[in-house]
Amino acid sequence: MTDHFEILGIPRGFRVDERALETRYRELSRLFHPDRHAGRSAADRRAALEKMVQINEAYRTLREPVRRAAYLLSLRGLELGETDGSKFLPPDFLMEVMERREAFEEARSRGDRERVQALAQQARRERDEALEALASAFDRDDDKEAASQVSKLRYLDRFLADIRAWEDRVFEEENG
Amino acid sequence: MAESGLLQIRDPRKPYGKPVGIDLGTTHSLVAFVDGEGRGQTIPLEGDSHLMPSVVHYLEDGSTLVGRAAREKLAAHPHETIVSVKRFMGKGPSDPEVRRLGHYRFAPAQPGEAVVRFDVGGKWVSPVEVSAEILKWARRKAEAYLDQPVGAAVITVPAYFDDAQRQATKDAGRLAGLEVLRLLNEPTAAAVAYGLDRRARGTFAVYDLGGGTFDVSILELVEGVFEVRSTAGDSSLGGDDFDRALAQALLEQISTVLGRDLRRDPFAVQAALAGARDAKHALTEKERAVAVVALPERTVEVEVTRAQFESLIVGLVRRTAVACRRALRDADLEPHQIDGVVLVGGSTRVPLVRHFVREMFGGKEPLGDIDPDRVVAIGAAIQAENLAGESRDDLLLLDVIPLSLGVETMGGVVEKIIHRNTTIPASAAQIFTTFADGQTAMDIHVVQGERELVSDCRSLARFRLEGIPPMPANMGRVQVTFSVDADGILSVSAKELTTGVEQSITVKPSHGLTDEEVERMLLESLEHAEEDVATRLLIEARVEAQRVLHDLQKALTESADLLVEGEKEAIARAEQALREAMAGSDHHRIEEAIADLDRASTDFARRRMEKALKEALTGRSVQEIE
Repeated sequence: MTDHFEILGIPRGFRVDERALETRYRELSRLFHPDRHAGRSAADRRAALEKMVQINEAYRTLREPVRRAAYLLSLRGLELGETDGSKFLPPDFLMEVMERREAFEEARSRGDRERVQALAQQARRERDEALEALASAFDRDDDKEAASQVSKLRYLDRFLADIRAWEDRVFEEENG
Repeated sequence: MAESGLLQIRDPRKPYGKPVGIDLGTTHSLVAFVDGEGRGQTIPLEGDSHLMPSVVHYLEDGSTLVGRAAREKLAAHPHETIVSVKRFMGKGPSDPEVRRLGHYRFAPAQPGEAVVRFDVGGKWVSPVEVSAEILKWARRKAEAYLDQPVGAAVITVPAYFDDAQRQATKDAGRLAGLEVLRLLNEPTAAAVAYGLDRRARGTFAVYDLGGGTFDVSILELVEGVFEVRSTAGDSSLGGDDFDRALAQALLEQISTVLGRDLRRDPFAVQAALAGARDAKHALTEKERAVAVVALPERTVEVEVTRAQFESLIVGLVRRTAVACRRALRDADLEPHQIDGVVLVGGSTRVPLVRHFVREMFGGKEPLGDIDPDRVVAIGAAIQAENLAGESRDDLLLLDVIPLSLGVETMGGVVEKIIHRNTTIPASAAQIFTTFADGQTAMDIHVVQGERELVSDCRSLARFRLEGIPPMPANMGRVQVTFSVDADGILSVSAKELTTGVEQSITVKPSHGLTDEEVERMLLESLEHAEEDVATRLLIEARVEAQRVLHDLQKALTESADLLVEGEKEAIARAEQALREAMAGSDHHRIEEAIADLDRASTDFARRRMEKALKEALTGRSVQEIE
């Protein structure tokens, strides 16, 4: 089984040239997309379709840094799985997570949008920092540290997604 | 059976005549083709008009009228005349759509029945059959205008259509005798028409408010590649709702004046909808208009100002903001990062809608210089030409799945398997474990939607995995693969992991027709008497056989080195069998021989793709794969 890096023909590693990745994806799509094989025999169409599905999956995984990092770790035998990966997290971060959650719950119950936005702002800042830390962990081949940063990023992403979901609900109530 | 003369003149690469694009709209349908200069053009379908009303009237003898002629029957025969059938595609008898203000008469729901049916003078017809009538008529008109056969089409669907609605549209195409080259999302089609016209590059939003559906898509355009970043919408919101809102207000007012409740009277409802529609059109240009409601006993005129009309529809227009916001978020973009906004659909002529779109996307003046009614059909025609290998533009569309696909797990909770806005084609595998000793079958329920509970999502299909070897609980493991093709349609396959045996799956669509039902309808339809169908199937099988043989010859010549021990002989045997079958007139035999050859050459095809990928990556060849 070829891995996602091989399918897209880019060097295996966390730091990727995003523009090159996009260009490569478009090139390969031109070759393998089912539309390019519309007039061909079923066996050819199927083989191209299978390839395009792999290309799409590879691109989806590698274009997004957190997914890319988790995938890279799994190739190195460090399986984070779909679970929270909290075993890789320092206890003080877990405390912060809980406090952050409480602050959000409280602001939400008061309908305090400014407070929620401030929490989101802070989470985004921490996310940027964690991404930096993740890249340098990979530079040092420190897989355990990388796993810890991925888990952290997943927490932050989930937190930001919950905030977005709440904001969307408020917006829908106002406009639905 | 006599040798068909058609066969000789058919090019195996282009067996279906002129490819066309069909915009199968809620209120109107259009057909377009690409002319000799490479420009997309719509075809006049009703005298000079390129818009054909999507209306079907059923006559007493079971035959139909379509388009304007059908719409003229609406006032006198509201039950036998079906308008806005698109709203009912892929819907079940208990869908909320069935309960909205309208003049339809539905067949009584049978227990367990999956599809809503209209009662048209004692005959029950499904939305698929009604849509097929529209498509057949459009096809006939196009053939007369182009003076050549039309057998293949790209049919457009709202981006936000779910799997059941897409499948229903494809079935309607099949029932109309069309080879459906692709189901194309309407906003993507519009982007194609605009993007190619302007050689544009950048990020665009397409705001598509049609008669019955609303879509918004965000696309990135780079060198002829249209990559859809996100799509969102509401598949039951459109200009029809504007008519309905105004009609409702008119009926209330008239009921009060006449002292009689007209809101359930199908004739009055129909008359109010017609009056509302005309008033809406007039209010695009003018500040006030008179709605004329032609009730059977007398005609009533009501003055409506634009402000009054806007106050009735402002809530509906604001509902589109929810989808716009979500599409932007999913694409991870702010409104000011959008380079241009394209308006699609007749309802975007309403001044309030234009104003709203400007506000929504950072004050930019939206593009509307290609007729918003025609732009979708034109884009579809360009893609049809492209798929038939006729296009001069190096065009590629990368679209997404609009709604997440998932399966039901414990407690009625949805587990998502493929997330919304994933680029298609896509597939994902999931492993299911037996929970009882000796369990040999497993039921799986597939749903589509974003909500957590199964009851809040759209039920797509239920299927049963059978033939699992009896084992202790938790030992039987079945891997189910969900695949979404480039039309956005789901298929499912399964494999038992301990034995590696492929499992048989019987998919029962929750709100669709089964393959058998479509097949039966095809055979029953008046135009496809048994004889015709057999002839057509024979011609199609032979054309397909020629295509397979042609491709195989080419592949064998170019990639002989990729054949493994014994493979060449196996392929040659299957090839010989196919040639023999082609000499006969049994289409089943030809189809079977094609399938056999297909199986014999599957691994060879895979190896060729693998090689093509390697070559592309090493830069030796970035041309077409042959």
